[in-house]
Amino acid sequence: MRSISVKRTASGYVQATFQAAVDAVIPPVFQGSGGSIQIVGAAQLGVHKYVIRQLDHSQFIPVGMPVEPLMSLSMSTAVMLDAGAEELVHIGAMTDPVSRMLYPEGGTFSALSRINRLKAIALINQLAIPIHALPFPYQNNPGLIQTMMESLHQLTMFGYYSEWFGYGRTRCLPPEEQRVECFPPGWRMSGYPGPSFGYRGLRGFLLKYPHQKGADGYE
Amino acid sequence: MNNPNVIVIGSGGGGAVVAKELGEKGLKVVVLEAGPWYGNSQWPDPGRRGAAGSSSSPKDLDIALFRNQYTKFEGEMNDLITGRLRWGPADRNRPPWFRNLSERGFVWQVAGVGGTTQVYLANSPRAFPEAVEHIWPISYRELIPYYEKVEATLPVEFAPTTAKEELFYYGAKKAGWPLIKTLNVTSPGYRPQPNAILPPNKSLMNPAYSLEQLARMEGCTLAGHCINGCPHGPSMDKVAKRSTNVSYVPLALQTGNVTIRPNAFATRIMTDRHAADGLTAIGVQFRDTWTGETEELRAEAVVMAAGCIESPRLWLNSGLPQNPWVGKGMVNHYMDWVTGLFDERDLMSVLGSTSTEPFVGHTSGARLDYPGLGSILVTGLSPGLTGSMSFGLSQAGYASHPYSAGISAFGQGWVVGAEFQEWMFNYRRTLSIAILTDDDVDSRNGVTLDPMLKDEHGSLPKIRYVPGRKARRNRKELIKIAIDLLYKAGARKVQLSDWPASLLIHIESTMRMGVVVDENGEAFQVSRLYIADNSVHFNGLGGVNPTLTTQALATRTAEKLIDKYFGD
Ligand SMILES: Cc1cc2nc3c(=O)[nH]c(=O)nc-3n(C[C@H](O)[C@H](O)[C@H](O)COP(=O)(O)OP(=O)(O)OC[C@H]3O[C@@H](n4cnc5c(N)ncnc54)[C@H](O)[C@@H]3O)c2cc1C
Repeated sequence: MRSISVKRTASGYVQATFQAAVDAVIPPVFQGSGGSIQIVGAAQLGVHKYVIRQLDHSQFIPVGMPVEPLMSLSMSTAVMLDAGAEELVHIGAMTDPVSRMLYPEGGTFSALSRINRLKAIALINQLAIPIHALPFPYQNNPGLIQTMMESLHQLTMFGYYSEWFGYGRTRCLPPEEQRVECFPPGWRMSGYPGPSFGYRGLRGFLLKYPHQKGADGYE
Repeated sequence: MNNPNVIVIGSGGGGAVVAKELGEKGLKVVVLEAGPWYGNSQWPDPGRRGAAGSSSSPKDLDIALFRNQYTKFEGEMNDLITGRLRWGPADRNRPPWFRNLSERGFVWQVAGVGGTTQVYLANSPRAFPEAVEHIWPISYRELIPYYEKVEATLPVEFAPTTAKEELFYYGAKKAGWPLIKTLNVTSPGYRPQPNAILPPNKSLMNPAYSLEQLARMEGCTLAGHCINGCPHGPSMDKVAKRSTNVSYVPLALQTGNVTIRPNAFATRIMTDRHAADGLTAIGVQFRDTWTGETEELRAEAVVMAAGCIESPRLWLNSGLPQNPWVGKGMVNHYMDWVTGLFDERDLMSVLGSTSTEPFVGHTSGARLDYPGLGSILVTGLSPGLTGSMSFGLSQAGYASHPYSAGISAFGQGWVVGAEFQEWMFNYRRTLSIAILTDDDVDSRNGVTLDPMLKDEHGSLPKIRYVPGRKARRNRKELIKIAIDLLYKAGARKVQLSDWPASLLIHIESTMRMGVVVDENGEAFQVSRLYIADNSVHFNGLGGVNPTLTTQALATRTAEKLIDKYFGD
C-alpha cells in the first residue's frame, strides 16, 4: 500500500472509518424502477457522527476497573473494522483495488471499495478474524463483536430515517438540548409525514370485546 | 414516605398494579422506581437534577407537561442510548445502564414510572389455556377472574381496523384461517388485537373537529405512536394507550395510600431471621440516582417488580439464599420479523387506497394465534425503527439461511445499499409481521451475576438466551405462516429479518412460580418477600404477549399478600 502524506489524528481516523462504514450501508445511489439515481447517502448526511456519538455515549466503564488509558468505543470499533479489512486482504478475498483517495485519514477498512467493506463486516460478523488480538472490549468477546455489527447497521439506518438530521444546529448538542428544526430527508424519501395528532383512518371494527364473559369458549 | 406497610420495587407492568391493589385495600405503599417520572409536576424537567423526593398526589400529574416530554419523535423517545424511553438514569447525559449478553442482541427495557409499558404496544391477550392448565401451579380457570378485572380496569378493547389490519385480515382469510371470537384461545385463527388502548374518539371521522383537538380529547386518534410513547388524551389518567403510568399509577395515587419515589434504584433486600417465619424481608436499600446516596426503608413486606433481569439480579446481589432456579429458565418468544412489499394496484383492489399506511392506527392491531406454535402480529413502525428492525438486525448477516428450504422464495438477513433504499422508498407499501414463538424453559438460559463487572448498583447481570429445538421448530412454522399470509395478501416480495435470539423484548420466567415463588407469589426461602413481574411466569404462556398475565397475577398476589399478612 503506498504511503500517504496526510497527517492522521485519532479523531480523523475514527471519523474516516465510520464515514466509510455508513457509506457502505447507505450509499448515495438508489435503484429505482427507472434505473439507478443519485440520492443523499448516509455519509453526506453526517450519519457517521451520530453513530460515533451514540457508541461513545453507550460505553460502559466498570466500577473499580482502571479506566486510564481507556480507548473510546468508537476507536476500538474502528480498529476492529480495520482488522476485518486486513483479514480480507490476507485471505485474498478482495475484489477491487484499495484506494486512499476518499478517506485519506482512514485505515485499511476505509480504503476498500464499498462491496469489500461489506465483506469485511461479514468476516467480522462470522468471527473469522483473530478475535484474541482485538482491543478491549472486543477481545475474545464474540457476543459483543456480533452485537456491534448489528449496531453499525441499526444505528446507520435509525440515524438516517429518524428525525436526527432534522435537529439541524442542535444535532451535536446534549440530548436535552436537541430540537427538531427541519424536515429530515429520510422522511421525505420514505413518505413519513412526521409525528401526528391522529389520522382519520378508521375502517370499522371486526369484533366487539366480550367483557366479563368468563371462560366463554373454553370448556 | 416513612413506615409504609409495603415497599414495591419497580413501577412497570407489574409493580404499578400491585401498588394500586394494595393501596385500595388501605395499605400504605412506597414504590421505588429506578428511572424518571414523566408527566409529574414535581419533576418539570426530569432529565435535569431537581428536588429529590417523591410524589403521592394525583394532582401532581400534568398532561401538558407530559405532552411536552412525550414528543412522539422516535429518536428522542426510542433511541436505546439517549432516548427518554431507555434503560438508564433520568440524566440522559449519562450512559445507559449496561447489560452483559453472552450472545448477540440487546435487552429492550425501559426505566421510569410505567417501566417498559411506556413503549409497549399494549397488546393484551390472555395466555393460551393449554400452556397453563395442568402445567402451572395454578389453573387457567383460577386466572380468569383476575384477567377480567385487569381487562376492565385498563381497559382492554379490540383494536379498530385501519389499512394494515384490513390487509392482514384479507391475507389471513385467503390463507384459510378462521376468525377467533373468544379470549380463551384453544385453536388457530386470526382476530383483532385485544389492546389496552381506549376506543377511538367517536368524532374521529368528523371533520368539524381538528385532529389536534381530538388528540386532547378522550379516545385513540389512530396516530400510530404506541411504540414511541402515547401522549394523547385530556388528562394523564385518560391517555389513550394504557401504559401503567397513565392507568394503574393514577389509580394508585387516587387511593391516597401510595407514594412513588422515582430516581431510586434498589440495591439490596434487607432481611432478618425471625423465630416464627425464618428468613424475612424487612426493608430495602436503595440509591438515589442523582445524588448517589444510599438510603434504607423498612416495611412489613417487600414486593419485587423490577422486571426479569433486575429482580433476579437484586436477589443475587442481596445474597439471598441459594436457589438453583433464581434467574434461570428465561424464555423470550424467540422472535422474528417479516416484511412484505406491495404493489399500488394490488393495494387499490384490496384496500381501495394505494398505501398500507404503516404509521396509522395501533402500532399492532391484529394477530393470528396458533396454540402449540405461538402467534404473529401485524405491526407498523415509524421509519427509523422500520429501517433498523426490518433490515439492520439479523443473525443471518448478509447471507441467506437454511430456513429458506421448503418456503417460497424470500430474501433474508441484513439489507443494505440500493436494495435497502428501495425498501424504504416503498415504506408506505410495506406490511410487517412480528413473530412470537412458543419456546421452552431451559435452566441454562437466564441471568447470573457477572463475576468481574460491577456498576454503581452492584454486580452486573450476565444474560444468556439460546433457543432450544422446540423454539427453532415453532419459529420456522410461524415464519411459513407469516410469509404465506403476506403472499396471499398480494405481496410481491418478502424479506425475513431472522432476528438474533437474544433480542430480548418478551422476557419472562426468571423467578418462576413453583420453584422460586409459591403460587401466591411469595418467595419460598424468604417470607414477606413477593415477586410481581414477568419473572414469575412458569413459562412463555404459549407464545403470547406477557403483560396482561403479569397484571392478572399481580392483582392476585396483592390479594394473597393482604390475606396472609394484613388480614384481621
Ligand atoms: C417495544 C416493546 C413492545 C412491547 N409490546 C408489548 C405488548 O404489546 N404486549 C405485552 O404484553 N408486552 C409487550 N412488551 C413487553 C412488556 O413491556 C413487558 O412484558 C412488561 O413491561 C413487563 O413488566 P415488568 O413489570 O416485568 O417489567 P417492566 O415493565 O420493565 O418494569 C420494571 C420496572 O422496574 C424498574 N426497576 C428495575 N430495577 C429496579 C431497581 N433495582 N430498583 C428500582 N426500580 C427498578 C424499572 O425501571 C421498571 O420501571 C413490549 C416490550 C417492548 C420493549
